[in-house]
Amino acid sequence: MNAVTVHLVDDDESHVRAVARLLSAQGFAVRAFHAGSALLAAVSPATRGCVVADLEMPGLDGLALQHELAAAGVMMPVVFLSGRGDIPRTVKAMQEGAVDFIEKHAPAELLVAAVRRALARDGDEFARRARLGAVSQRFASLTKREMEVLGEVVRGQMNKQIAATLGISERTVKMHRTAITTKVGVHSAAQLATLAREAGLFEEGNR
Amino acid sequence: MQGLSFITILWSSLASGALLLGLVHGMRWLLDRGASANLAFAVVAFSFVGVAFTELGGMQAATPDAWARWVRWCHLPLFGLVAGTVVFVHLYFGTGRRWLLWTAIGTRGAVTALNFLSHPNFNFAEVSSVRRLLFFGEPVTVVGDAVTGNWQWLATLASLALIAYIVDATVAQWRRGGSDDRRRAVVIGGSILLFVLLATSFVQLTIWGFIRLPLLISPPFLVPLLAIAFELSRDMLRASRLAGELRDSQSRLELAAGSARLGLWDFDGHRGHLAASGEARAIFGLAEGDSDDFRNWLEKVDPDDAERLTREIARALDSGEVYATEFRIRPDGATTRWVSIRGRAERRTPDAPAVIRGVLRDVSQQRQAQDETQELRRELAHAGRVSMLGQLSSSLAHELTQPLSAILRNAEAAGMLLDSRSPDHEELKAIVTDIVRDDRRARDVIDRLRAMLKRRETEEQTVHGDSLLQDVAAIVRADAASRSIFLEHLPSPELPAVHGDRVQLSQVLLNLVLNAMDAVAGQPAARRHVLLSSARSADGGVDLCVADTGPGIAADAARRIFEPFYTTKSTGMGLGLSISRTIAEAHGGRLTVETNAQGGATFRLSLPVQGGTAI
Repeated sequence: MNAVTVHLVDDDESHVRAVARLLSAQGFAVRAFHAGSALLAAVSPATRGCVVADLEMPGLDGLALQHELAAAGVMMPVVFLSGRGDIPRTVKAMQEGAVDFIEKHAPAELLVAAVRRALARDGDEFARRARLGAVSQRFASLTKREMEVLGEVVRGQMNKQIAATLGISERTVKMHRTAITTKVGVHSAAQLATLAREAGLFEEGNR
Repeated sequence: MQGLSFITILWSSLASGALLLGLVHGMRWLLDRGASANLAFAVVAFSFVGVAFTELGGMQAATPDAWARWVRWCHLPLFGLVAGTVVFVHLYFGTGRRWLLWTAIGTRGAVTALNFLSHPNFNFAEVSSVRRLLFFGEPVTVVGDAVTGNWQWLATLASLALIAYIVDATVAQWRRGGSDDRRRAVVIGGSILLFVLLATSFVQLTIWGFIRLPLLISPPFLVPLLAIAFELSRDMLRASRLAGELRDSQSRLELAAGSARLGLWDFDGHRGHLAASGEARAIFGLAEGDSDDFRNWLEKVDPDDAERLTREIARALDSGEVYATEFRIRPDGATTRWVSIRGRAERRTPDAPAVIRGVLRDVSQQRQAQDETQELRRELAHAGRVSMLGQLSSSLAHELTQPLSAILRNAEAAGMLLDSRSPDHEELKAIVTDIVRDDRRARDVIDRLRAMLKRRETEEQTVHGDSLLQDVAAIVRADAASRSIFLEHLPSPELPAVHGDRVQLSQVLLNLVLNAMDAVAGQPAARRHVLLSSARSADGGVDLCVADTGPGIAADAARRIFEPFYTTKSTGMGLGLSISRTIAEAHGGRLTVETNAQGGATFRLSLPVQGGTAI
């Protein structure tokens, strides 16, 4: 299920069909659901696309659905549709990470733009997660000693200082750095530091 | 040429007096066909004229043959005299045995018949000579040598039969015991008996030749003739006094009715006449001299009510029951007044045409007061509806937004499809179909709202309880969904329709459903259940029920819950249930509450199949 799909959720059959038509006409792949529970059953963390949900639904309403999706690890951005300008709920939806909030009678361009933004964000997120996955794999091949050396490098220590801190010879430090450079594929200390931060390494150490 | 003799003058005077009496009483009978005793008396009086005339002829006869012929003809009016008298007594007293009556008439009839079969007459087998003698100083003809008829005994028998009947009838009349009854018995019965005894003995003695005088019947009959005339005149005088008293009592009644502003009226359905008192005419704007013709009255009735009124009056004439109704009139052709009438159809005899006697009253003021109260109730009911819909405004907005937004998206999609190089016609058709359906959906919501919000006159119509529940469920569905309340409607389409105002009845149910939803709102989501159902009630009406799974109603609250301004909610005026109960009762129904076995409350709106009048 790797195709990028707009997931529509609305209890109102007629309304969901109309929105589906509009988005299809704009070239999006659309799947329609009549209840939040149906959507939850059909998606996984690997699902690509976005969710366009009605805020007011009987049973599982929009905010509850957003919550459930997050709990299930589904990271698709959510665009909410609402018939009324309900500020407290809008704020809550945004805090929970909704991408956008479109009034039902807003022009099609706004809706389409919001869907585009949501899909773009999903794309970025997917790319970021893909890259992160690769980097993490590379760091994962380092030995324990090499990780210790890398930690010091990221903190900006010189070889001499690293040797003193770890209680090993400067030569050995150089050897470890060569191994790290080979495994991770990066030469400069600055690049290494950036990658390590991306991979979420040594964060406590920096504080 | 002989001048008019004293006898001629006397007998002619008697005859003309009797003729006058006969005419008076004959006329009386002609004017009132019920007065048959007067007719009998008229026959008696006319017969008396005949008898006097033939007697006069006999007294002036020149030959035995002529004399005998006058006697012979005398029997004809004599039969009328006797039969008329007997029938008069029978009619006037209403007593006497029938067979005696027929015997008296029969024997006298036999005498009369034999008279015309015999020669020269009944009384004589032969009259060979007549004489002249002085009577009241005048020469008159009397019988001379003659042979008495063979059937003379039958005349005596006839007289005895007459006596027997008169005695029998008179005794029975006397026994009635009233002073008037006894006086009549003595005066009329006595005078007739006196006549019979006098006339019979006189005639017998003359025929047998013991006395030589003309054969005279009319002088002794003067006694009963005058006696009867006296009694009948008394009756007529009394009748006219009664008529006077009746007029007095009628004018007293009119005075009393007038001061109570009641109009009196009599409707003769057969002749189409409506006679009425001055007050009744004034209420209808009719002048004193206007015709009694019913159409005249009907012209004043409001055209919208005239047909119904005519129909109801025709039915009242047939049924003979007490009849009451109210209708509008236009006394001056412009302003409308309300009139209440009440009356009853009567017949004097079972086959006489029916008349309705009744009263009528101008009730415009009471009507106006009623209308104002009703208007006030309507205003209150309207305020109740507006306030209920206010509670629902956000969910109703959502219900409107859905179809409108769907229409917008469909239209935008259609626009995009049309921009493409080869538009998909099937898809476009589907879009248009959806747009039309959503438009209808939005209009339904608006229609329901408008019906509830409109300030309006009451409209009586036939309504199905099930469709009322359906309407109400449609109005609150969105609200129930957003509050996670399970709203269920159990349809029973086979129930009979009720009669009433659709909006008012919907209002009652909406009020009950909103209360029920408020009652379950505090329960855990799985226990928020509101059930709408309908059923046949024990008394043949229809019950519309709203049951909830809320906390139920405390006994103390249940007693007061229908009182105005009583409320258990923090918001709300406490008028909803009070207005609802007023509406239910105006429809001839009831609004009650009971506690469910498994907790929660059930409100029951019971409506009769043929209801009352909505407010």
